[in-house]
Amino acid sequence: MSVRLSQRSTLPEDDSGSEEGTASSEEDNEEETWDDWVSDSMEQRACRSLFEDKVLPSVQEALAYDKGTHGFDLDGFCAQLSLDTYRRIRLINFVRKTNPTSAAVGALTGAEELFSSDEYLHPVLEDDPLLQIQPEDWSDSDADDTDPAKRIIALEKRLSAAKQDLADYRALVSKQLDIPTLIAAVNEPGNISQSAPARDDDSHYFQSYEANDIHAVMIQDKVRTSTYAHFILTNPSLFHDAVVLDVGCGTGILSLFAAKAGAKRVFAVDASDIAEKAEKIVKANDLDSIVTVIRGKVEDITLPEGIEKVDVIISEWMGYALLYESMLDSVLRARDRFLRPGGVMAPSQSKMLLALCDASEVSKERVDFWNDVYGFDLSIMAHDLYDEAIVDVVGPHTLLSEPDTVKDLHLGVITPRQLDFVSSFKLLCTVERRTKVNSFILYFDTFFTADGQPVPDGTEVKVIRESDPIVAEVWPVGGRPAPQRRTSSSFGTQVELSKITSFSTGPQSIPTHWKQTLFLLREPFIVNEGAFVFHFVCSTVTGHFHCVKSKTNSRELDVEIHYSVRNEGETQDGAITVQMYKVR
Amino acid sequence: MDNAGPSTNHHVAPKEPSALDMTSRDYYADSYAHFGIHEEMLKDSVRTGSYRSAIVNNVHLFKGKTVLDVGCGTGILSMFAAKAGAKHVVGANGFKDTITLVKGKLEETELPFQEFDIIISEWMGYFLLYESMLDTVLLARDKYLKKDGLIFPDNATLYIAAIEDQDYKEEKINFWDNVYGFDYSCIKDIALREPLVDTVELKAVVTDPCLIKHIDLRTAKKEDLTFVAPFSLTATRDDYVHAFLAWFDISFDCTHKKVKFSTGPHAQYTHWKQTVFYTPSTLRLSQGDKITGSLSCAPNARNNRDLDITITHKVEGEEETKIQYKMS
Repeated sequence: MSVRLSQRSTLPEDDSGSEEGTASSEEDNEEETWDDWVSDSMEQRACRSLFEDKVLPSVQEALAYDKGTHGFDLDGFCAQLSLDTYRRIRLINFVRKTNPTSAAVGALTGAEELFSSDEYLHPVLEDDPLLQIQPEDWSDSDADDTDPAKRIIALEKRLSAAKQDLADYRALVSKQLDIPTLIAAVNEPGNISQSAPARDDDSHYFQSYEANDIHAVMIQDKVRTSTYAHFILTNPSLFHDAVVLDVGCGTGILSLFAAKAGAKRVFAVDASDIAEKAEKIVKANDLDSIVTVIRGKVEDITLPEGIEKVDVIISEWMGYALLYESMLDSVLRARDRFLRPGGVMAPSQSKMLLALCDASEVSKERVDFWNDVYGFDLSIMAHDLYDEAIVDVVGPHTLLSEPDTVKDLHLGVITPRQLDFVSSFKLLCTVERRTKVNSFILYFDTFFTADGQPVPDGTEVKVIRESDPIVAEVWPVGGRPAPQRRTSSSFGTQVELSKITSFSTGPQSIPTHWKQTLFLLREPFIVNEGAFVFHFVCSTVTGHFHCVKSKTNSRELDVEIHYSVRNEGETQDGAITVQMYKVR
Repeated sequence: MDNAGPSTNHHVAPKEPSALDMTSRDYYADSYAHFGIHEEMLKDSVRTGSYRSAIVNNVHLFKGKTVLDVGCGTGILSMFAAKAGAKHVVGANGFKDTITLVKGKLEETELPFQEFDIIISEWMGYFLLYESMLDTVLLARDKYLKKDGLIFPDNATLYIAAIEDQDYKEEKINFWDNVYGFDYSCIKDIALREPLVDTVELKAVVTDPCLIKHIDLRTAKKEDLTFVAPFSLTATRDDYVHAFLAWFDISFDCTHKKVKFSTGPHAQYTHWKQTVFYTPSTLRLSQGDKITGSLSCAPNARNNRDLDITITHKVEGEEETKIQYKMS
């Protein structure tokens, strides 16, 4: 569904000076000065310790004091629990109000009621400087937020607006799904077990991977398989004599590559029946002395032969929109259980990219179609299309903006909680004429590094275009050894770059089985071509991208996109539009 | 995005059930809730066009009648019936006045009428019977259809032929012999047992077709859906055979001009395509040679939406071969 919210109530950063009751006299309208203002004026203000009445001369000193005296590191704790701005504020107010011990605070998990309570959004101490400082490496969400006092007021408005939206949405969902009937259907005789059974998001998931066809599709996805092959077979220093864990091995192809690359031991784990096939395949290729297939969920298994830690974890866990099907949670669990310190995750990094897209072809085929079906108007069927992400392939010329990274996942350190996220985006239009935008597009780029470290900023992903030969030279074909590339070829000359292996699922690349994920807009908007007015200006679309696991099925995703458009020449962003989608 | 079919070309990744926990039986009912599948079916102009001709061009059959639409989906057939002058149309699966929609499974639903003059349904699945709603239609017939009432469609026939399919077999089956340099042949046997839903060109057909099953909807019983049928296929040219091919025809014999359509390789594309059954070895046929054998079809004992299909075949002077397939 799509709701339009008034700009004032939802954009804390845009209501400067107009919000009544807030001190705005010291504000400077130049955005560039915010940083200075925060660090100079806020951090230097006297701040009370969290656990006693002692007042320290600055926030930093107060935090250091709490860390040294009470063993509580606020920033570290927030990072550990992946607390967003609001949860951090609630935590601080909670501590100020109820005076718990530092140990009691340290034992919080982030799931407690206090982290969602409105009560703790109200500052306990007047003008508490601690509420106004963000950790420096504050990541995804709301990096551009400013005055906390105003934030809180705006936040409260936003909260009540959101509550209303939720209530409306619930009513709508209830009406659309005919919940009472559904409940009646579930409770009908023959279908009942007296108590509600624990939800099982897994069975269908694992069963669905038993059929061969899906594996054929995945293996035949040459971009995918050849990139993995290229990385594994061209990094002998990483794989030679290494102990490797393959999470969600499927038919075992990645394990076979690892064995070929010289791994000492490879453990291939899969919870679906395909594991039996993987075992046969390993045997058929005489690699069963190296590769051991383990059937089970990686959360439950133990490694044989007393091996506790592995050097490398390889996994092809990516789903539609990267996170659909949430196999990543299992991979991260495997990392925490089995990867030795300094071990390498392959892939090591994945970025989710958002851009504007001309999806008119998809829209014509899937939306307009319903307007006239044998003379009947079935357009009600198209209504739902705006509530669901559409997985489809669009061509390279459909991009209407530069992409912006909405999530950068470093597989070595990310925690499952960080997979639910909100991040801000700014999309610079690249259109050459007035153009209608009818969709956002989401895709991902994946990187492999030999040391498991993130790639340097600005690293370009390798895009395999339609006409490019796919790097297939790394394995012998028909028993012949692979031809060696000469050093004069592009791989040899760019030594640095060859250490990074990557692929993209974006429209620029030849299609992968992941395709791209489209979010059709209920209300398409117009953007203009860029122009030179002293310097180059173009239309921009800014907003927030929310992505959380569905409450009803953890393998599905709920996505919300909040956006506003500013065309060149306009002095402020337009009204904010919010649209919600399910990825399923 | 996806549908709930067997191995089709566009079947990429599986869908999750949306809510609650579902058995695969429930999943079936739910998979139709996805509009993608309705879209594909409605865009199948052969299918929808045939139903339209059969209904809208036969006002004399529908005028003033009560009509039950079994498994109505988007309700397009119900709307055709309303347009053809039906007094009242009940879609068993919401529209006002003449069209009442009842959501739920037909077996568990009480309908606002006791008897109907006409049942319309689009119940056919891949290979006619895979995930088909035919048993529901037969049940609806026995429970709700007036004596001498009409069923749209009223006849279905299943055919088999043999085809030359070297290139696709290479891609779909022999592919497993060498996967990025590794031996995956143990998957090959399993891959062979999964019938492939795909479109086949007419020129690939090497033999005459043979009718293996005729279903008269007015008289068929549920038991008739488990059957063994003999076949004999005569080669029309010298060629190699890599697979058997099955398809079905549908007719509305009660209509004035006998509307019918075919899903065969000679006919216009439908979303049912055809169904390919690869043989383990390649058969060599000369013009006039015969392949004799039989095809048996039964719902799987554990999941009655799956089909167990066995094909036994023999070329004159050679050993008999028997392969079991499973559509799931």
